[in-house]
Amino acid sequence: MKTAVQYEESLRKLDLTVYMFGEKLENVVDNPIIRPSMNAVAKTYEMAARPEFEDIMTATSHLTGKKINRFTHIHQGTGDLVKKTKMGRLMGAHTGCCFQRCVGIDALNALSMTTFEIDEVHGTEYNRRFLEFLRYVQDEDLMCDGAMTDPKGDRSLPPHQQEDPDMYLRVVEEREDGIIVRGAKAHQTGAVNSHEIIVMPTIAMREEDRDYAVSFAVPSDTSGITYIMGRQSCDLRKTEGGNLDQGNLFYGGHEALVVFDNVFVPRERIFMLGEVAFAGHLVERFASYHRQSYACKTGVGDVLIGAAQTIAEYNGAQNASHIKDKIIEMNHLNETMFCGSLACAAEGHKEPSGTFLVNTLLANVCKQNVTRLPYEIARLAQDIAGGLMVTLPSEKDLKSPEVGKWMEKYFKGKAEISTEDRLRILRLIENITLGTAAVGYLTESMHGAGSPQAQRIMISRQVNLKEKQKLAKRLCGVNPE
Amino acid sequence: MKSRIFGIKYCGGCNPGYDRLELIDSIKTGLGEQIQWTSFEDSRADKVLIICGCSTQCAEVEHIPQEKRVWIHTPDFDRSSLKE
Ligand SMILES: Cc1cc2nc3c(=O)[nH]c(=O)nc-3n(C[C@H](O)[C@H](O)[C@H](O)COP(=O)(O)OP(=O)(O)OC[C@H]3O[C@@H](n4cnc5c(N)ncnc54)[C@H](O)[C@@H]3O)c2cc1C
Repeated sequence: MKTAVQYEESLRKLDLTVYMFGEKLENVVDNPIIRPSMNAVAKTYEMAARPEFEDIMTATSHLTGKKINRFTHIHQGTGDLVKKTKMGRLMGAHTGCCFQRCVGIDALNALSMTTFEIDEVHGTEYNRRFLEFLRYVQDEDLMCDGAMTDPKGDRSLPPHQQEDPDMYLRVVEEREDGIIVRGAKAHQTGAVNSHEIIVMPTIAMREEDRDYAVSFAVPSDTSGITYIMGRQSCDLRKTEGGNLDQGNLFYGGHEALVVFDNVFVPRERIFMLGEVAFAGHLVERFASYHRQSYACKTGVGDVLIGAAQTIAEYNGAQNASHIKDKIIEMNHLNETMFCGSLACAAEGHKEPSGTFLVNTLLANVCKQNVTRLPYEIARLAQDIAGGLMVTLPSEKDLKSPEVGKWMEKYFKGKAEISTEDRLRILRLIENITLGTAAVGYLTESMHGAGSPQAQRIMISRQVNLKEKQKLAKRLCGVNPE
Repeated sequence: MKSRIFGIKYCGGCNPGYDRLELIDSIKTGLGEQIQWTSFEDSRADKVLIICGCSTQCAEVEHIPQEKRVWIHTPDFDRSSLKE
């Protein structure tokens, strides 16, 4: 396994083409806006090496028998799935943000099944290729971007009917030694902190979409790939030189638009090529795992609840009955998300490839809760925090010889608590509920792993309504026929 | 002279009910010089303390011999058992 330091060194060796604020970045790793997101991924390496976390953070490779970082593991039982849920909470709690590495483990596990099943039907050799790639990822302890979401253009049209055919990533040329692909993947979490980009189709496809039914993995610095960094609310605070206004001093997340401009993919790295019937198979499996992964929001919720209780104490309001009740409610909602993720893991099963898959109905229920509950938890945190979390002047004013004394005086809460400590907690609540970390805690909770409607469709497909009707009819004497 | 060797194994700590590292520190202080501390993988260990953050006690222990296991999931456990 890599150490956090080795991980950072490995990123420095990448030759990525990254743009931010209209300029090409020469040094990605040390860029103050990107660096907190690198720190968050590095934390997944650091914690795997610590005895008090390794039971969750590491696993035994089913390929080599070696100890590996769990983020590169293929689930061999429901115990592994449960540990993945716990790992999400643990990492969310220790970073207070999106730590970016779950999308890679979900892509790996989904591909371990889909490649196997394509081979069964088509006699292809995708699973062998995939397992070779997996072994490399495990041996080198790599960070993988799971790249599913296409820009999608007109949402009412399938890929082949888009006015611009590149709105979904596609194969533009097939050669003896590989393929050339063109298109883009949007909202890519942790993209510039990744060693490998794993590309998957984003929707179920028909025969006419054959060129779009493609999955592969390429090194992140492959020629023809360009990253355009997404900006986040309050991102420039990281460049101001202080350490109060950014709220979370150490960690953050990032997303990027990843453009594939005629990128060559060697044949050995292709895991699906034109098998349209399996595009939906891969999407559903990836989405199910990824909907489980949102246990991470319980970890971020732990931080937010801790911050809310702390500001209540700093304000002298912690004994008010409605404040106590709101803290209870926040915990109730937070643990509800954890329950869903744990339940779909514990109810997992073995697929033909040998990989364990979560219970897909419960995974969708879990994620549907996640599209809502963090918003309510955030609302309660803002209620408890008071308005100062959004009207607070800057750290520079606090340090100003002219007006700093007024801030010290008028922003004081309880006598024994320093004004600065009170302001730090307020900034953390701001960060998670409407600053840089709200990208992960709120809007990613809404859309990541699919917008709410995607889960509702899956729930409606999987519940047995007829059986429920039978139960009701039997109890009240209605003829079941 | 150190007389006994204790290993330490932790659960992963996803949602601990108390600070597991603080507990281990206090156990070490309480037992003083008589114990040499080592990893749970060290076969020389006489006992392995399995420090779990909650009553689920999900730490993986298959490589730890049954007779060496001492399960702890609360700071209020009976410490006299460690002196036996
Ligand atoms: C912070 C963040 C991180 C992310 N990280 C990743 C990542 O690492 N990898 C990755 O691949 N993706 C990632 N995503 C992308 C995520 O999966 C998508 O945002 C999600 O699938 C929704 O797609 P969209 O954003 O294009 O929204 P849209 O698809 O445009 O959805 C907007 C609304 O329109 C509705 N809608 C869309 N199409 C239709 C239709 N045909 N019929 C009816 N209603 C429709 C939706 O239900 C929704 O209500 C991330 C997203 C976010 C916000």
